[in-house]
Amino acid sequence: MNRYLTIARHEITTQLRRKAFVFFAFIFPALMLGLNVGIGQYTASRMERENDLGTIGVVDHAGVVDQVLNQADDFRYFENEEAAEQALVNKAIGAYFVISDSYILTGQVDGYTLSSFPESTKDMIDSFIRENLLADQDQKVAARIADPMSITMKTIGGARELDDEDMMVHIMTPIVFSALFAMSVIMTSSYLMQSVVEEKESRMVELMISSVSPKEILYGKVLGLGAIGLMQIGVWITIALIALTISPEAAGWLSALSLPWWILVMAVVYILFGYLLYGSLLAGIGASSSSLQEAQSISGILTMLVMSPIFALAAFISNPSSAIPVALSLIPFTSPTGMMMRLTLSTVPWWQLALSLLLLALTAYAVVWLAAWVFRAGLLLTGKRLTPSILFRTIRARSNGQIITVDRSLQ
Amino acid sequence: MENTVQVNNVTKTFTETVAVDQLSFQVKPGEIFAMLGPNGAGKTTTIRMILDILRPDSGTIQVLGGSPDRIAMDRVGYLPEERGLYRDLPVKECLAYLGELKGLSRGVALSRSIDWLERVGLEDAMDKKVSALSRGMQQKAQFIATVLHDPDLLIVDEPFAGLDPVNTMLIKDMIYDLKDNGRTVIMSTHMMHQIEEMADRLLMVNEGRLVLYGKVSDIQSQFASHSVYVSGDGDWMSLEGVEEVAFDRDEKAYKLLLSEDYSADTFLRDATRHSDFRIDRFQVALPALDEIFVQVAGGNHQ
Repeated sequence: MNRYLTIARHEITTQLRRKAFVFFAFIFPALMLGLNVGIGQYTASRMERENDLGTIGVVDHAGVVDQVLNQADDFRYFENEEAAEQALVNKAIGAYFVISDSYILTGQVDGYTLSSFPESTKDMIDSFIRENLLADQDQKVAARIADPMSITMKTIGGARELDDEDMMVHIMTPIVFSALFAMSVIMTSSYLMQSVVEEKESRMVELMISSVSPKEILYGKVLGLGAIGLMQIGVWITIALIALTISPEAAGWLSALSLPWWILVMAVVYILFGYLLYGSLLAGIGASSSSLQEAQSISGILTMLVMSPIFALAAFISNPSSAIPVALSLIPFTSPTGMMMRLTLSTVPWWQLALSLLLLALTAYAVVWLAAWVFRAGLLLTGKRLTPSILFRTIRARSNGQIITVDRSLQ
Repeated sequence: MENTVQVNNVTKTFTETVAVDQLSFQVKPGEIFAMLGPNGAGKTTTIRMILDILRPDSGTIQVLGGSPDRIAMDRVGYLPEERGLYRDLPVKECLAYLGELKGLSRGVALSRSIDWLERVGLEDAMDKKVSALSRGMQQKAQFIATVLHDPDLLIVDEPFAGLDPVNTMLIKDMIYDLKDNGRTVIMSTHMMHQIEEMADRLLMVNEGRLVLYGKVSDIQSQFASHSVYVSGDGDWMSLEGVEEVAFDRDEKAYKLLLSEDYSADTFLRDATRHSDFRIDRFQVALPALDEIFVQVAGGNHQ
């Protein structure tokens, strides 16, 4: 009889009944998406309007602008500043620039506009001058000078290509990924803790353990709230993908984001073990705390542990194989986030990955076992604190084949 | 027929105190068995051991003919002293879930919850959240949770605490119903008159040890002082065996203390033989359980 499935289903429906949960899991991200897309569209269309200054005037005192190339639609040649200024005031042109007579020596160019000078206009002028300077060069050389290299960085053995052009994506991916990762583990684990504390506070515990074993309660809760957590992550990822698909600039980001499938498999493995570890730890804390506030203050410290690799981001980016990142990706409490950051940043030797997983799995197993016993002893201690010495006695008593309880009210 | 609960020589020690000390007793099928004793006497610890929430340090416990395991617990209903239900769940959902935890299928658990809620007059409240119910209603719902899976053994800890007379009567009738259907009930309570009225046998514990155990009527006569209650006319003191006469306001009768060798039967024969005496009512004075309780518990404290 798998009563933990009944408990799991109860936890799922109870969670879905909570207005606060539904709001943060579904409505809030949807609102953020709507807001984001709305603002994005608005600013994009505004920027487009503002960035397009129309025709740009050129006044050349240095004689670098080739008359032939000056036929381009975007540029108009003026003899002097006065004529260009007149055209600007009459709005025949959106801006003009003056190439000073000392240009060849100093590179001095002055730009004039009625409002602002967008970056895109500067880029246009920049490539316009470059083309003119290279007009009498060999065409192939000219093309190379304009765009001198297309570099591909590879890790030794060529396991993964690290594209230089995607450097932004390259740094953003581990940050976004590990932050999402840490948040999911913490969030799901705190649901679990909250549910345990509430069961204690509502005085349901005694009735529960006269029907099912503390282990069944723990497993049922871990399973049910784990499913809730996965569902919420699913909602977030779906909404994030929708946001990226709608926004045109993000399309390139999305294609560059594509991680190898095995890293995604690893992500699932680490998230499951991470949740088992932190979930049962927080369930144990919930069972042995006298109130939700007390439990939350302890769980805050654990939150810092999960997040700690993100705080050490600089070390991860400068050299993912240096001591701190390697340590953070091996220590069980930080390894879920730490290893994910290393995997998305560079390659990891297989033995480190295996060691990290082994340590995490062993720790998770030990913590689940411990939590089941803390759970049994802690559940009946309503309104009391389970001190380390009581915990120690409980474990020792367990090894002697007995269970002790210390609450006076149990007598 | 084998005993419903068999407790043999059970001892349970918490860190510093002995909560239950060498306790042995049996609960017979179909009876209402009362457990009483002062606070901290070991009643709840004993109940928790019967329910396999705690394990004895030594001694054995058998429930429904086997060890008190999960399978046996599906046939046991428990009303804990500390009441509680999921406050944010609709009443019927909450009850159905508790029924499922006892092994009922969801459909059966839900339909039985609805039947029971109708039976106790909570049909209008079944879709309301538990927190929206009055205290008395919550108590009734809590009792339903105890009997939903039609248990063979019902263990109720202070079943009448916090109930008004109407609801006390309702719960009492439900307990009698279960007894009439051959179920066994273990009841722990401080309300002595409920035990006198309902229980077949009782167990009194004090400081973890058994102090009284047996049929309620036997225990009462065992503690009977040598007195009778009499209403009627006559000079009672003129009878040679009567040592003291006092009017008892509660009984609305004279309480006569008889000498050691003068039995109640002899008194009745003597009194009816003389025409000077008229007897309207005669009763051997059995002590209230309250008195026995105070006598036993108080005596042990000295």
